[in-house]
Amino acid sequence: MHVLNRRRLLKLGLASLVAAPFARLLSQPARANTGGAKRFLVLFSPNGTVHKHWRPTGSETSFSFGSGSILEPLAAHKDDLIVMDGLSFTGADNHEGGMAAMLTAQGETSIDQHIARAIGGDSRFSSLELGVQTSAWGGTTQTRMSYLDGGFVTPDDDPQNVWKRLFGDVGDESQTARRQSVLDLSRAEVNALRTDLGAQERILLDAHLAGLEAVERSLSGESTCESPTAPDLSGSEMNNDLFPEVAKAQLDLAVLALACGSTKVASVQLSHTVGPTVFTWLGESEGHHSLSHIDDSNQAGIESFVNCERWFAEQVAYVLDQLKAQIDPETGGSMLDSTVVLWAKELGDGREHVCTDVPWVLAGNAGGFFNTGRYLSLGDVPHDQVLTSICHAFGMEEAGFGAYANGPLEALR
Amino acid sequence: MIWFLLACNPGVSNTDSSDSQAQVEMDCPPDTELFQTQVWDAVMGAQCAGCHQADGLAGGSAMVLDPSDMEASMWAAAGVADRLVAKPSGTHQNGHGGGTLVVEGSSGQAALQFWADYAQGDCEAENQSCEDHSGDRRLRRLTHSEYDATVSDLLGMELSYAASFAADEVVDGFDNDAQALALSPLLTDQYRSAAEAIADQVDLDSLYLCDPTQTGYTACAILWIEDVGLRVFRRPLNQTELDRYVDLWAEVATEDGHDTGLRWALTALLQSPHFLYRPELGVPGDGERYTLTDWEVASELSYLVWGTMPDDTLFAAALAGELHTTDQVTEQVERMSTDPRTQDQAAELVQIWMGLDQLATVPREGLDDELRASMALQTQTHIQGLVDQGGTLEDLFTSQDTWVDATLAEHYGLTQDGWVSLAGVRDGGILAHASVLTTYALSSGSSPIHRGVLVREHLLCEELPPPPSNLDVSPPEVDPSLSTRERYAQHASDPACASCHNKIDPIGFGFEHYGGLGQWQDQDADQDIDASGDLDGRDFDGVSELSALLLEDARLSTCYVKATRRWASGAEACGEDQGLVALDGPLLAVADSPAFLVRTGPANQGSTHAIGTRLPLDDLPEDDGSIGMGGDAFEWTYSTDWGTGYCVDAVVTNTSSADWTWTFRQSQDGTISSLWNAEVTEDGSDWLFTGVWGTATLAPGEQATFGLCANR
Repeated sequence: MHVLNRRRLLKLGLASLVAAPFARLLSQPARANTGGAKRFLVLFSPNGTVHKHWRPTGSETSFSFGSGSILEPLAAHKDDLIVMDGLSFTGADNHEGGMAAMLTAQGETSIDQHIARAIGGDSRFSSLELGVQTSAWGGTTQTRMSYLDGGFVTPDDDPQNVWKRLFGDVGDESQTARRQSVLDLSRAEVNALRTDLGAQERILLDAHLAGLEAVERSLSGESTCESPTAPDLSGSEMNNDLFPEVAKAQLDLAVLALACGSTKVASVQLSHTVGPTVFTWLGESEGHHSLSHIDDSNQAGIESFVNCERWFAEQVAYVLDQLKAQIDPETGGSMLDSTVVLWAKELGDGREHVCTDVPWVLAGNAGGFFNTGRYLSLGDVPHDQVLTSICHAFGMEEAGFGAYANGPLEALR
Repeated sequence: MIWFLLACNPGVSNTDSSDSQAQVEMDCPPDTELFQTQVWDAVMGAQCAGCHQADGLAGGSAMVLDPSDMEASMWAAAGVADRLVAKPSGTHQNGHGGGTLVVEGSSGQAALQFWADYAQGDCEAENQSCEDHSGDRRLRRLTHSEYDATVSDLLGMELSYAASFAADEVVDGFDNDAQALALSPLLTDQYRSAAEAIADQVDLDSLYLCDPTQTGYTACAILWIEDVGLRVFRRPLNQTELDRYVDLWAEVATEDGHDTGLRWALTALLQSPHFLYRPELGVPGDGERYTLTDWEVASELSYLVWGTMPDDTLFAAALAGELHTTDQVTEQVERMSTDPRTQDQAAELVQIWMGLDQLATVPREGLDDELRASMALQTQTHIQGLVDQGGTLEDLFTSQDTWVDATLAEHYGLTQDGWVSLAGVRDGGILAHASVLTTYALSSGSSPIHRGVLVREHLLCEELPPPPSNLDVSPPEVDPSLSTRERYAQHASDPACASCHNKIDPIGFGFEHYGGLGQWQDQDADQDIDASGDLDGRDFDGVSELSALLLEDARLSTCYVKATRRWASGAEACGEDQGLVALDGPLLAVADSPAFLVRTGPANQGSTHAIGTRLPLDDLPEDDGSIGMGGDAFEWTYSTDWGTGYCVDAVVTNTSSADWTWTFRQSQDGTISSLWNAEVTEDGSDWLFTGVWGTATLAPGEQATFGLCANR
């Protein structure tokens, strides 16, 4: 992972944040450690929303999702949700700014990677990043949401490869021993180079060593679950019309990886900001980004956009179904109750390219830490507070997250 | 801290301000020498000072320079920092009395940008001129396409793994930025997985240098690893490196034989940092100057011109120490440029420049995989053909002789396929290719915005700002009674949108004869197509006239040269107007520059490992008897098969290094009528064969044969 590219920051207008000496915010004790979360799953879908079709109706504890509204597919899970209305990304706007700030709050490491650092140590994968058609444009600020020390963490867009990493190359002792010998050899070579070369090259070589270490860990462990059938999508995972099949395969694998203990932190990124996905399987013909810019006066267009957004909500509901059905062997309760699921978006109203009133949904009560079954009308609250609260749900004691020290969002408790 | 200068000097008075006591502020320390070396000498002395002097044409403007007073000039330039770039670039809303003097992407503009940034508080700003970055020393990880080309050349077979690798970071539209090409855990695992798969399928016989049963297993392995290793590392292995691989080979070969040992050695070679990165580090010279080695130059050349590893001639030249002068390099470039791989490389460059790699995945209504592939093939074949004939930028934008397959011929409404002329059928050179028009469109139809952006951002290297936030940027509703042009014209009538869209949409309108899949259309919404457009105040009608305007525009050549250097160096670069150059001209010119042979970087940062000559290897160790050949232990060959029955000759080989009492398992197929030199038992649906008499137990390398006939 290379250091955060200064030019990229300049383009995002964040340079002053990096240039300015700001206090390290991440180690100050804040509140009691009472969180009972054991797993973290981030889901992402792009291009903001149209609030009047997203907002629940009713009060904080007695609310409903209107007929035909975006969140209606989540109705069965209402008691496990906190619907957050009124989150703003401080200092960010537009597609790129929103995508970059969403999970980082302008810091160098995103919430998933931050939590993985704290709790991922003993699992085969410190974290797993899965994607659905995120990479046709390569890795850019538009297409990436996870950051580690300022560099992108690339999602794996190929379910077959994910399956192979989880279940394929493990278990054969003689092969594992040989792979280990090869990794040791590579490590010796990288270290020899590293000793001889300068600071610039060390950035690359350190990333290489980290890669070798991660591979070593993933190969040396055992898969505790029986291997499911491998998804058969290879070669067509970038085909627009197969988006639903790829999404289902990735969501299944993410849940399985969490359930099997292969990782404790996973994300499934569905497309990316400005994503051009055409929801042909719903009969749509215009790309999702184009639809996200439809004016209220264009009723047919708005209906199409809401249709697509409802499809995303169905995917979230599908994941919650799976997590709810799995038993957490340690607690005997449902796996959802010890998992934090965050459905994040990068923009508020997509038509206006703003990062105010960004529609987020949290699911799972983190062992009673979060008070679910509520619709929070927050007014205007910095979203880093939610990220801080999620840290607390995992027993971490951060005073803030990213570039901010605004504390947790008490309203979630 | 803010540094400022009270406007007591009339030379820095700001006429835009009504306050006669206006002061110039700088948020970074004033530095006259920095200004002179980086800005004045680079651009302002020659380009600005002529008019912008007290008695010059621009003597009454907000910026009055004084060549004899560098400090005053520095403050004068700082005082207009907010428009220092836009004015002479011709992009300021109020225009520039002196016209457009610096073009986008030029070193002059880079110098002005540097000063604007510095004066406005970016104290670590750097002058992004050509020399600064394209010549930095660095490790360059293979790009995904270089990986495929390299393993294919290395092993003499067509190998394609890169499509399954995690997408790399894209910087300024290029996926080969040296700083961004790092290994992630995901890619490290994909390299591992690919290396194992490649080593598994390679035909080792084609790589053998000696017969291990004659020369000895260990000696052969050493010779093999040294030779293959040189081509993998693109330079000779030293003794320490060689030993690592020989040790790995021995570890595996002791258990599973010589062949398997070599396969694992190859698996490791393909994951080596010396394979995955190519160094442009050099050996230290004076201060910050490093001289590339012959081995480094060999790789630099082959990846520049061919996009793959060096061939035997380049390796021989490097070994002979004949690749470190510009003359030697030029001689190689002349040899290499006639190879078809040079055309492929130039064709790839043009397509990356135009952003056509997106065609592979863009979702478009009515676009199936076959048509998508046909579109890509036309453009690929077309550009290769142009490069082969020495074609220039002018040919690229005008040539209407092109190649289409049957699918595309039908799409274009042609009656024949193959090499055809599109004159009178379609309007324009490459900008009328369906690949280009489809890449820049909406799912449901044409898009003047996307096509305008193609011209601005890709062809002219201009950076367009994103739409401001808090601005409703809803696209026009599809009203079937309005043409696309009318809908967008209406849209851009909003003053908030107009300032940018007036630079974009009027270019895109020129493409309106082409629908979302590049199909020709005479009418849109029952109206005759109006394909008139405007490029910076110059009118045109249709794609041919737009192409002609672009060819007259110094920005086009500058941008192509810049893109070439950006791609070649994997780092920020800038261009200059070289006129309507040959398409492979700027690419090959990179090698002819003296800067090709040196790099700069901080002093005392170590030397490249790409040095030295081959190891002598004249005193090779003998085998200690612990290693065997490996390979297939069982062979089952049908000597005859008449449908209702068959006969088989079977061979069992002890590929291990220890005595072995063998069992041969085979699925039952019929009923055995006769069996010789073996005994059989049944295990479920399998037969289990074992040896008889002296063949039941085999010494290392020993073989047993048996046979049978069976009725089905």
